[in-house]
Amino acid sequence: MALIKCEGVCLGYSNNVAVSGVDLTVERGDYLFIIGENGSGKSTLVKGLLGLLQPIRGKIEYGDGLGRRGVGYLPQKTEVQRDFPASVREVVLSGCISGGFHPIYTRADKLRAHDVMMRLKIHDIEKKSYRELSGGQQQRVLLARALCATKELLLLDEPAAGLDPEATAELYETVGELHRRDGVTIIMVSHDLHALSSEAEHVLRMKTSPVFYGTREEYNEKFGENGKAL
Amino acid sequence: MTIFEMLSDPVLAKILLRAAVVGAAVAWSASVLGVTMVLRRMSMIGDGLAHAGFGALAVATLCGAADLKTEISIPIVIAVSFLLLLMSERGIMGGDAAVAVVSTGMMTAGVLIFSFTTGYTADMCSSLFGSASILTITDNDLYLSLALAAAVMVLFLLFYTKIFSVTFDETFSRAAGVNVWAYKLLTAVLISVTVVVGMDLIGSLMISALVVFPTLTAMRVCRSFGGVTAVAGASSVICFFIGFVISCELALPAGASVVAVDLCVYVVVSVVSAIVNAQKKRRMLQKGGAVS
Repeated sequence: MALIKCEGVCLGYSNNVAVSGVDLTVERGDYLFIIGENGSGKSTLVKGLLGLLQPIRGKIEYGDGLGRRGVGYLPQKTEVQRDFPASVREVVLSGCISGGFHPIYTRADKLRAHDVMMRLKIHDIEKKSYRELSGGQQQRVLLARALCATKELLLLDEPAAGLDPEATAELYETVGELHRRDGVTIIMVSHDLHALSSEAEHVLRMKTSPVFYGTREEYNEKFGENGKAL
Repeated sequence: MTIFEMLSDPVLAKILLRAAVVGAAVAWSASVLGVTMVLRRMSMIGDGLAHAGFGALAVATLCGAADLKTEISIPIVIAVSFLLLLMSERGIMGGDAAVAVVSTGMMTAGVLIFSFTTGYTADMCSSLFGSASILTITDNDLYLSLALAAAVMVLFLLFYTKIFSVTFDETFSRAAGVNVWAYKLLTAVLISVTVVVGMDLIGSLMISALVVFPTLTAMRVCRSFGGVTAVAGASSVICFFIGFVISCELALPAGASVVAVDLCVYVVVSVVSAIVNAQKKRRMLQKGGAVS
């Protein structure tokens, strides 16, 4: 069974439908790129996938041992985080929390955070304050936090927002490596039509409802390499 | 009379110590809760609740229950905090506009009720600016403030990891299955109690200073959330004692003295940390220059 299966999913807020008719299957080890302009319903779809928003119609199923909480989430940056006094270690560790009672981080949590920080090469800045890092480093820290939450599926919402081209390339490379080497299933969301990573296997193009859903090769054939031509 | 002479008189000493314990408990609770409030950009809620406390006090006076004013005020202020959270959550009104509406509304109600009933009295003045004498602090206030500090401590000991996560990133926490709403409500309730208990000593116009200043001071020195929480609590209690002693020695109102100390410490720490940071930067630049 697939990790995530959406059937005719419609999402929205108080009678205002933002997403409609999404059929989607995410298999283990997949790399799905969700692309669409601003206001095309990407963020709403993300909320639906995370279980923060219940579908108005249709259903979202999680399978193959993946619970709804098995999704490692890298949200968009918030205003609050700009000057937030937190060490890198504190932020990464916070990925270990769950809904249940969790007063302190266990030894296993700390080991896991350490492993993840080593893997993403941020262990040498673990004592540094999050607010003093560059944008690229901050995204790395949030990626590490998401990896503490799960080893199976990462959901990245506009991870390249506010990054310079170099940091963006580096981030995509890191995500690609997690996919290739560690077999992490990736769902990447972006408004940047040029950003379609060569790593991506499937593409979903949104404009409230899916405009295209298929493999990257089919997508490039239909829309051209730059993705603009409709 | 100096503070040592006061302490040698058993009756005065009891009043003095009682006020000191109440103040320290309130100062610590306010500052520790303040860390998450300030970082979540919700400092003004403390202020709004304090104004609501004034209105609630007027209602208590109207009921003619001067002895029970704290007991009557607390549920009213908790209800207001609930309302404020609900308004911002549901998007009925922006957070700051909601606070402005509720706080001025409750102030107005308070002034009108006082005018109709007792007129402008010393009671009203002391709830606005803090009491001029610490004689008004009762044993009830003592127990309540100790219970409050204990509740805040338990909250932080049991739910520290969640509080951090909710403060740092609400959406991530919600996706991880944390009941964000419950934490927001719990902090709002505790802030409400803090505000009401501290109102008599500090004054409702100034109590939110105890929520804001210690955190801002701590953020200048600490780089981690744990550090900020610890330093904010410690600096708040220390500032309270310094301000309290000054107020006794110079016969000043306790609230204003304590807030003045908080303000001074914040300014001094800000200036010193700015100088230290500038020097660090210069040294790094020099080092970098030498390498290249």
